[in-house]
Formats: sequence, C-alpha cells, structure tokens
Amino acid sequence: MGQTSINLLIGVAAGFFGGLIGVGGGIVMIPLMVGVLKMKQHMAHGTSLVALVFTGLSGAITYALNGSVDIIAAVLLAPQQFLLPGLGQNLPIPCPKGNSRYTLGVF
Amino acid sequence: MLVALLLISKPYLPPIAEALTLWVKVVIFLLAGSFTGFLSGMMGVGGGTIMVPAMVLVAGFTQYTAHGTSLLAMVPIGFAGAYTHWRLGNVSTGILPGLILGILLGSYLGGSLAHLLSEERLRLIFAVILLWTGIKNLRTPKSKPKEKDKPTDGPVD
Repeated sequence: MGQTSINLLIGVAAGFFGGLIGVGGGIVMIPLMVGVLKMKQHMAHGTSLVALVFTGLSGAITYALNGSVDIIAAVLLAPQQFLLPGLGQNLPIPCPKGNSRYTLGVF
Repeated sequence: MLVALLLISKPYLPPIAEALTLWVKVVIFLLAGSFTGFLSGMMGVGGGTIMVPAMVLVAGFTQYTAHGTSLLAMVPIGFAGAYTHWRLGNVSTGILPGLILGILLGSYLGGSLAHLLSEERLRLIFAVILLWTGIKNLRTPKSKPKEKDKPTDGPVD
C-alpha cells in the first residue's frame, strides 16, 4: 500500500471517529501516526492539531446541515481557549504529565 | 470516568439545566472554555472530551448539538495550537494532503452516522469512549523520565 493511501486511511478513521463523537480525532490519529508512520510524539501532536482544524470544520458543517450546531455557545466556548493554550503550550514537554493525566482520567 | 458515569445516568438525574437562567449558562460556557483551553494547551487535547459533557450535563444540550458545537469551537483552538506547533517545526507537512482528504470524508460520514443513531445510543457511545480514555490515562505510568518519547499516549483529541 502506498504512503498516501495509508495517510488517507488514518484520516478517514480519525475523521469518522471525531465526527461521530464530536472530538478532534487525535485519540485515534496520534497513536496511528506514532505507531504506523513512526512519527515522533510531538511531531504527531503538531500534525494532529493541524488536522483537527479540518475535522472541526467538516464535522461542524455536517452537524449544521442537520441543524445541530449552537453557534452562540461555540463563540462563548472558543475565545478563552484561543488565548489560554499560550500558557500551557510550553509545559507539555518538560513537565511530568503523570499527575494531570491521572486527574483527567478520573474526570 | 466520573463524568462518563454521570452521562450514562443522565436520564435519571433531575434536569439542572432548566433551573438555570441564560446568564448563568453564559458564565458556565466561559468557564468551561477557559478550563478546556488550559488543559488543551497543557496536555494536547482538543477539548471535546471536556466541552461535550459540560454542554450536555450543565447546559442541557442534546447530544447532537453538543457534538456539533464542540466541533465548531474546536476550529479556532486547533488553529492556535497548529500555528504554534508549525512555528516550532512540529508538523509533518508530507502526510497532510492525504490525511486532510481522509478527514474531510471521514468526519462527514461520522457526523451523518451520529444523526442516524438515537440520542441515547449516541450518548452511550460517547460515555464508553470517555471511560475507555479515562482508564487508559489511569494506567499510564506516572512521570517516567522520557515521557515525550513514549510510543503510546493518552488523551489527545
């Protein structure tokens, strides 16, 4: 199988999953990129974030066609996130993630 | 995991949402957004796992609307994150064309399938996936020295 078709398949899997449950699909994409394409962990994170924009767009359009998007709520949810990642962005590599991940797990 | 259990039991819980006024909801959205932004920056999660339960449980959205709204809210977040990673050279541009094409197709299919399912079933699927991710996180060994090179990883959506 060619490289492109592998990429395409990963994309379909991630998009399908993301579109179905309303998330970005990184849960699927990152393990696949690391496992199948042998990418470095943070390379996979970066690439998955770019891809996530498209999952969001295409997924939101699909939901909007079915009348299931609340634009006002999305506008309220988004802007702080636009600003805050700047704070956290420098943390993920140096800090031990064990604790926060544990917390998120319980959550 | 706690949230997943709450989601499953949602039909049996008293409807909190109807008791809330519009402004309380606005504040909740702003808070949920901040919390999500902080976590997504710190851990690389896109935020759907936090936003969707917040919308369903607190604001009383249907599961469909919560998913759609979460996807829309994800676009600017992804953009900000992607830009930062792009500048740091953490983006593999070679695989993007195939990946994006696949994603456009896949998310259309996923979104359409979601609307074919009943709301209860969709919520159950979401809760199961949340549980599964939660369990996966709990099993991740605490702070290994070379965390960033580990092959498998947790909650990134």
